Amino acid sequence: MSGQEGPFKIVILGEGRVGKTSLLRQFVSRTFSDQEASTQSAAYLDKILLLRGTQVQLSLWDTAGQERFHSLAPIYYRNADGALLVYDITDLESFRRVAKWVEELQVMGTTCVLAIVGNKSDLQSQAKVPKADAETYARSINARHSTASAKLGFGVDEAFGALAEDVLASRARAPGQTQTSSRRTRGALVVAEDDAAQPSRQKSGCCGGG
Amino acid sequence: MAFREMLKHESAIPLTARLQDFVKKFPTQGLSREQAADRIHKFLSATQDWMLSQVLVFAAEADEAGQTNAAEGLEKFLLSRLHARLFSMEPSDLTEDETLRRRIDSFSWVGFKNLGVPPVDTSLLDLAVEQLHSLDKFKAPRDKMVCILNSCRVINDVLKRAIVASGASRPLSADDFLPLLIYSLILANPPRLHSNIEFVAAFRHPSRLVAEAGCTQKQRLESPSLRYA
Repeated sequence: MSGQEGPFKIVILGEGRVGKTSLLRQFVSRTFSDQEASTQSAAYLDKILLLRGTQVQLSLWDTAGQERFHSLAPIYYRNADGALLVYDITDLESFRRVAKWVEELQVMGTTCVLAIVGNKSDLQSQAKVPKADAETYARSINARHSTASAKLGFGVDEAFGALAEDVLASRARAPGQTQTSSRRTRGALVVAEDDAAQPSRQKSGCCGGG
Repeated sequence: MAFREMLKHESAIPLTARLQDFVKKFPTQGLSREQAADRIHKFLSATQDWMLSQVLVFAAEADEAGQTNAAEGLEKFLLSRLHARLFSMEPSDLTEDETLRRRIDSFSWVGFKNLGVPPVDTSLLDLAVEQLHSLDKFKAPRDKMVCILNSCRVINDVLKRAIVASGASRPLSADDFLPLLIYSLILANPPRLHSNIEFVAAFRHPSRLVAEAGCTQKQRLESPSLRYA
């Protein structure tokens, strides 16, 4: 099996200071907080992944975490194929904020695949968010959950990779959505109850297996 | 070779005829923007495949860069000719443009403090403002898009310098970028902004709308092993 898929639009959501930008930088260029990274675009990054012999192009959108820009968020998540919802494991409020994002996405009727990531796993000793609670919540909304450390580079590729696989799998089950043109449709928000657009828990869903 | 030059080649006569026929028969009214875009994209997709395989002067472009250029040239050629019929084509566009212009104008008091970011030297943003203004001067969707990308590059650059000057060492984030983009938009208040954005969003070919030139090139170059694996 080989070929190209995408580009898929992935949006990174979460409260300010949870490490959205750092996760993105770590994933795209394997850097954490250095000069080289700051030469790149601030809001948009592109990455090609190789998943089961398929080149998957991801268009990754960082979002502003400041509450005052919250009303602009729909511009980012509209037509997104996947959303990475980030919280800081040492900050309970940032985890509660994830649930609010999920509610908002559901109210707006977006069909994008969701994954929840608890960042700063290097600060495990200061963790305030019980992992079991986070996992239970993620299961309840049919999303993946994992933890990562953008600082150390742990769990970052896994989180993005798993989300990309879920996006691929959901597209494979909803062929009508695979065309770029259909996702471009302006202002058209597809109803969330569409089973085909629910995130997959399967590991082998990509393009029907080979 | 430029697309226009290639069109002059003998083998391109049927292509020119096909393009002229499409432009001539394109309805002047009765289509919504979405319907017009759909019709144009279908025509462009089909014509591009045919052009790159059957029209000798274009089929000779064996490499990807040459083919991309040819496809871009085709889009630019067609959309420039249809621009007058497609720009601001919905009845509400004029009002929307005016409403947006007034709205942005009413925000002229907004400063860095309101946006919650440290101030930067606004003269550095002149180039970004200029690029946002140029949006209205070009006809082809790609050229308009390049203006937006250029203004974003300027903003990135200004931010990068500001961060270096402050002695910090951290990557730029959307937290830095979005406020300055908003600030630049207020400064520029680009003419016919609504119509221009709708034009690009509708008529830029969907396959080229998401991942754009420049933004994507670097990352692609960095991962050749993935790309050609």
